[in-house]
Amino acid sequence: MKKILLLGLSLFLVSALAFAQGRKVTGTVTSGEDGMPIPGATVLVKGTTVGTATDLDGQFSLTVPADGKVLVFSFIGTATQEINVGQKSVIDVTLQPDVQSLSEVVITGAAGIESRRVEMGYNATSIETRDVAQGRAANVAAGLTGKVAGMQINTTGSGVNPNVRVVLRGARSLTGNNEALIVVDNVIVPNSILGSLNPQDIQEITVLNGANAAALYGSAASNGALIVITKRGKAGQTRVTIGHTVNAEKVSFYPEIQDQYGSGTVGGYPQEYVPYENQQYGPRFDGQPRPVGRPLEDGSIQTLPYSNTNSKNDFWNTGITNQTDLSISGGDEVSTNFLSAQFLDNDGTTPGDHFTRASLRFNSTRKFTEKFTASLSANYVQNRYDITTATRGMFDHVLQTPAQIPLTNYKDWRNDPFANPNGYYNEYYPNPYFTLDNERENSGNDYIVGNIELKYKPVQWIDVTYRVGISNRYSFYKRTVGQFTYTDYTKGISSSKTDQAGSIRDRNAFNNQINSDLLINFKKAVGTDWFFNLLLGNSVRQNRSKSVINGANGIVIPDLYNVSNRVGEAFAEEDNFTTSQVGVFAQFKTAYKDYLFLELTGRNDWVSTLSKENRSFFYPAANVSFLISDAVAGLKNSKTINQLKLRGGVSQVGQVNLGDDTNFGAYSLQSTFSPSKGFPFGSLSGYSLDERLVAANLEPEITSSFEFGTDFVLFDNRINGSFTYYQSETKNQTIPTGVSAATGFTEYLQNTGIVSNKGFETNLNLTVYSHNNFQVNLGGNYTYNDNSVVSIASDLDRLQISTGGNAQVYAVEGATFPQLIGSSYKRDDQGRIIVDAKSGYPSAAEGQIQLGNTIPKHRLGLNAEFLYKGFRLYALAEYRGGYSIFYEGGGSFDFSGSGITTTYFNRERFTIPNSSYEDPENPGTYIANTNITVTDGGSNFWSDGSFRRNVAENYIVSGDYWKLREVALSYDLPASFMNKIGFIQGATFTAQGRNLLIFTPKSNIYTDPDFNFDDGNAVGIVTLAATPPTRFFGGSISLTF
Amino acid sequence: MKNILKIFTIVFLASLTSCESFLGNNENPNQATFATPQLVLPNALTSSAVLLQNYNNNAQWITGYTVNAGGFGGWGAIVTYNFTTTTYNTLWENTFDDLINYQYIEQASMEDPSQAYFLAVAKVMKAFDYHMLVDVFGDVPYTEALKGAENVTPKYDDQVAIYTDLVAQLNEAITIFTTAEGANSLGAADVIFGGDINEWAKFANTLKLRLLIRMSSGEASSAFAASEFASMNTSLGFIEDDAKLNPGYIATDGKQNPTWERYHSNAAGSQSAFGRSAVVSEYTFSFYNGNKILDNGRGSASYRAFPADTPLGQLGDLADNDFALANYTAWYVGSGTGSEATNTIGLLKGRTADFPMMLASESYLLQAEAYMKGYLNGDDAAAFENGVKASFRYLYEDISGATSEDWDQDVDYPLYLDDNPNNPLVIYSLATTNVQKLEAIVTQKYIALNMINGQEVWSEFRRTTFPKIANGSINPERTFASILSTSSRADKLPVRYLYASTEFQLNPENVPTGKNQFTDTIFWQSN
Repeated sequence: MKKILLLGLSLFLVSALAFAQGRKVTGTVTSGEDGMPIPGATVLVKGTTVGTATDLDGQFSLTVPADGKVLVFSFIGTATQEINVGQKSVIDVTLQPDVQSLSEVVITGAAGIESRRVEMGYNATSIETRDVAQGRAANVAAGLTGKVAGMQINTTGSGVNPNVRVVLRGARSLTGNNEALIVVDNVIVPNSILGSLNPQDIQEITVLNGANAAALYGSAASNGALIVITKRGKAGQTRVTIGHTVNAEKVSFYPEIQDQYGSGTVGGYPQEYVPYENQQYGPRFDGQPRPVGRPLEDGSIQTLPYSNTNSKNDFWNTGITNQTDLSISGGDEVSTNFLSAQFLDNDGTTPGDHFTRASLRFNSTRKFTEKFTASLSANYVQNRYDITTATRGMFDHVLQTPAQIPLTNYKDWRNDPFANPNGYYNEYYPNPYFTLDNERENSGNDYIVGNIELKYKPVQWIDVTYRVGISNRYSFYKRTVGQFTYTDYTKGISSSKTDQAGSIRDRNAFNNQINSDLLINFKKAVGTDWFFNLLLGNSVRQNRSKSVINGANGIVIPDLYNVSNRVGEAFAEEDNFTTSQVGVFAQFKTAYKDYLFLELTGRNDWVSTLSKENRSFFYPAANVSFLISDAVAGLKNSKTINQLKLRGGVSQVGQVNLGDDTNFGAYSLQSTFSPSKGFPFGSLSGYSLDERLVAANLEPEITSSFEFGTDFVLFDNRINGSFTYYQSETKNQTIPTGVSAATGFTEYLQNTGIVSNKGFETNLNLTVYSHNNFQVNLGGNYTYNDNSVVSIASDLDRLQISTGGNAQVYAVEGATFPQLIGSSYKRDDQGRIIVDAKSGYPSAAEGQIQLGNTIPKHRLGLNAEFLYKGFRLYALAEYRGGYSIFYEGGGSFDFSGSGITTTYFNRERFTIPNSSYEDPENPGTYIANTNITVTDGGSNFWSDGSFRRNVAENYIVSGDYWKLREVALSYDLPASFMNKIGFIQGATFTAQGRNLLIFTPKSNIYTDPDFNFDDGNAVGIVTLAATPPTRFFGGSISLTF
Repeated sequence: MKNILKIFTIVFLASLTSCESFLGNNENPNQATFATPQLVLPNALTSSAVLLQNYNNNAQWITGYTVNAGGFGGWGAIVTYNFTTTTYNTLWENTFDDLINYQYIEQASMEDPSQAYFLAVAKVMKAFDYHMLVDVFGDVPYTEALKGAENVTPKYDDQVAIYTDLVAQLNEAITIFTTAEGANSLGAADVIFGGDINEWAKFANTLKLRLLIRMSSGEASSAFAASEFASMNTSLGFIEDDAKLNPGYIATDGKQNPTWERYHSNAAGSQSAFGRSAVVSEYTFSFYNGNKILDNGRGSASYRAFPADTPLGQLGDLADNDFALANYTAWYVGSGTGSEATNTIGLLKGRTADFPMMLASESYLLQAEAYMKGYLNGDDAAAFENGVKASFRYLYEDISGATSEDWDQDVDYPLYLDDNPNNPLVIYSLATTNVQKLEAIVTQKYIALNMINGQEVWSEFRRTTFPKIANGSINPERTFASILSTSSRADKLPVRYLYASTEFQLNPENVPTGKNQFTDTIFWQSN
């Protein structure tokens, strides 16, 4: 968008400049953004009016007067470059994009409406393709991490294609959707598509941070929006680009584990070596040879040195991603075409995991008449997974491996008798390599996403747009567990090894969304001062999904994974969902003298998921923008303040938060009955009340928000920045609150609860230096978000969001959301842990306490960019702070004795720090404990459930970190060099890395806090289901023909 | 301009008028939003069997039926009794989850005389579930419970008041069973008695007997028990056959007999972890191997490799307990392993076996105590003998309910008497005092309900202190208390569970706080 505008503006400058006598200098001016020549760039001898402009090939020829020492190169939208002429006769210049966004820059906003930045009464950030794609993240959203104020992006795991969660301005909805709306080429698409977009296809991403900006999108706009515009062809020469990227992925953060003690079970003291034990409470390593496991049937037994092998950490592979890109773009006056293809192949860090993604895109536009244009955008993506389903189990099995075991020697479980489950040394946990191979998923998704847009402009002041979009996802998986039968010998000596019967789950599903949008836009200028714009729109959406799953537990013929090959009855289930939504909206914009802008919008939605009485709801928004720098005479043409804008807005958006993107909230209004406990049995059917109660008359959630802020450009365009304060309140939350089981139910879906969010988003970008083709840009963005659960329900001050272990994610009235709540130690009034005066052991408190909020309050992104001729070095660091996480695997480490914590006191008796015991003379008062040591400081302490493993506070760590998120170094071969080759127009080489370094507080001995066990709102728990965090690094090459 | 506005208006109006039909009715094509008592009852009863089994699974660690097998760790509260508020969350939730189905049946059939039997069965089964809940938690929500959205924070009721009302509900059910006219048959929905209302009446009466005997031991409830005994309908009688449930168990995952599934193997033949991680306590075993009682018949019907090689242990002994037998759980006496395991007699009769909800043996032994104590008129010695014989019969029956020459209680019961000629626990006439008689009755109940109803046996132990244990002994045959017990009691046992943590989160105003699993006894426990 930006490019087209720039070309138009600059060509007329060519003839305006005078010529003079002197030395002749020639050269080429190219764009740092894409390496292409810039036509119409101005070349001026500093301090004179002598100059010229580049021709269509970006070339210039200028006679420099004898006293001319410096040439000034400038072009709209780029930073000005000054070059010392010296003795040079050829000067090639690369003009880099300006750090500031131009006041004339047009941003595609809600409903595909293009607005100039100056008009916008709300915060919006545009990110160019280079910034998204430079780190070569396979996922578009991952490439945005840390780059936009107000936007938090979390990758929920480290698998081959992990989910990415995008949240703007904090969590508003307690249990509903908080993720930003995703819009591709002006059509709303399901969030899951984000992971399937080819980052190379993206022209621009606009982030609409708040509901104000997105209100026109209707429901879900309360979460802000990510507006993705894909590339279009350009009029002119056909360009073909081919690129290839190789990235390596390596584990960057292992949980800290002990390397001093080997196999031994929980028991007395001193510890005894047990050759087949997974627990690591044995004696200290002494390097002596010891037997490992039980003897095989032929009597052979392994003997291995009793010392640390570090093999657990060597378990993970170096993942390799190969990505090949091809794009063809071209066009003429009336039509443009863009065709792209990408193939990505990824081997993960988990041995055997494999992922491929192939995508094709065809974007086309055609101007049939002056009044009528049509465009098409079509995208097909296919991805395929071959992964293990047992990540959590496998990771646990790895960590249950004593440090003396050479784990990586046991890969070949089919042939190596000591790796085979029959002969595997570990009595209780299987060989992780066997687990990996035996529990598999083959799955895939086929996406077809596309839209057709027709634009009709009968007269100058009216245009009509009609768009129909489809996003279709077909998905399938086959999950299998292999059959394994142990030998009688093994079963005879190992009572805990039992046969695996094998199982199959086979699922097919489709998920389909059709959108239809009609927009009529009226524009009218009245006099010279006033401008009016009225937009009327209608939008219709239908979502359908269906899934069928069948399966069998227990297969007959090994390795035949078909549901017909089974024991007993088959398992089968189906789900069908259809929902519809109709919206009408209007937007009225007026501008006064091009410096004062007002925008009013209103939208009414009708949704199928609510009762007939409640399914229609209306919500308005208003925004104002005031360009002070244009309104105040003294500021016009100021070199110091190039632009200063104040803006503000209020809005209300309704969101129906009943379901997810599979069920869309359909059929949630009635309590249901389901067959349970094995029903039906033959001809006997049976139904049981389901656990959820539903309140009568559910209504939409309403988010009311306001924001105000400023955008500014200072010091001759060298500094730009923005500041936005926002506040929002979401009420009428549709929440399945937990209720006392004594009601007969466990959930109660009702409208209740208010959550408020407030915070600010800032960013500042500066061009520190720009001279002689050398430019340094620095940027930073800082976000502060604080939210508070104002209320949940009259008789409820806590709402459980996740279920399971000893600490869970909650919403707590009056506290930041989400909040970890879990078990803690009994403490005295001074906060000391109360221990038993005899045993020295602590005990768990009866209730559960708040253990910390789980979303960072502070986020800071810092980036630096160094540009020299064709070189570009970019680095991005990110800080997140002010939150905690719960590491669920910690309990498993303590149980097995692999955890570093178990060695903190050398497994000797110790006094619990900061503890006290009850004064036997004065019950209720406590004496500081300085001498009562725990009865056993070894296995019996660390593996104990009641006062160690089940006490959640033991596994809470600070989530704070600094991360070197992205570094990319690229080099564009100079145009002059390319000209010599001829058929190649451009070549770019890049070396890139992501997540290169992470710095966490010492207390975080477990993991990268970004990871999360769930891609929903229950943020803050890391489990072993997430493999260890990784860093990526690699290189790429891109050639343009 | 005009035309365009017109077009827009038309499109706008068209979309609005067609809007209603476009939006549709939001009718659920996936799940039922309506049911009937006929559809809910079979599921509810089958869930009650699973619920009873949940109670048993927890209780039989405490009563010595099961102990930790060698080679397994991580026992936690099972061996220390160091319960937390999260230990029994599932039990708490599952009980109310089952109860709400009976509540639904009660509501749906209350006004409809043709559904009277459904109403009565719902009342009986509510009493069946609720008394187990009270027996482990004491005060629980009752009058305000099961009201759905009407009351999301139900108050807790006094345990004696709950028991009292449960008896009243059973009386109402008995009245319906014996007097209702024009009521539809329960038909196939009755997966316990196949629609036999007379059996239901007896079942209700036996359950009432169980409750009243318990109440007769409580200070605050004994007077009520006495008056109820006085007005008891004795002509109705008590169950004489085992009350067994079977919805049509088959060899498919999730559809097997739940006891088989838990202790033997899943439908595909994979051996259950519970069957391997638990062995038999030496305490319980001594009632079979001759150390306390010699019982070759029931011993070999109950235990694999009896008597020499049955795996034994003591709760909490993490070092010396026997490992489970290779390929076999200790409670399966048939041949074949995994999916090849054959149907047999004893405790694990087969994958599709009936699930015992209440044994005739227990019915007789309850009667024996009522007769012995004079609550009801009858022959306690005869009831005692019938109780023991009924236990033999249950264990000797195969999966079809038939007995064979190999397993003949008429042969083995006299042998049992002969083998223990001087033992008052076996020969009732040798028990002279009421205390000895009670010990014999309750000890035989302990034997009869071995691995069948640990919940009931734990309650009976707490009420009577029988079967006898030696407080604080470390001799594995003399007590079933864990050697890792943290209990402050002399008997080293717990007396209750702790309220679910979900109640502290979701119903904090009402849940009683500060309960201790070693000191806060249930009302019918004297110490």
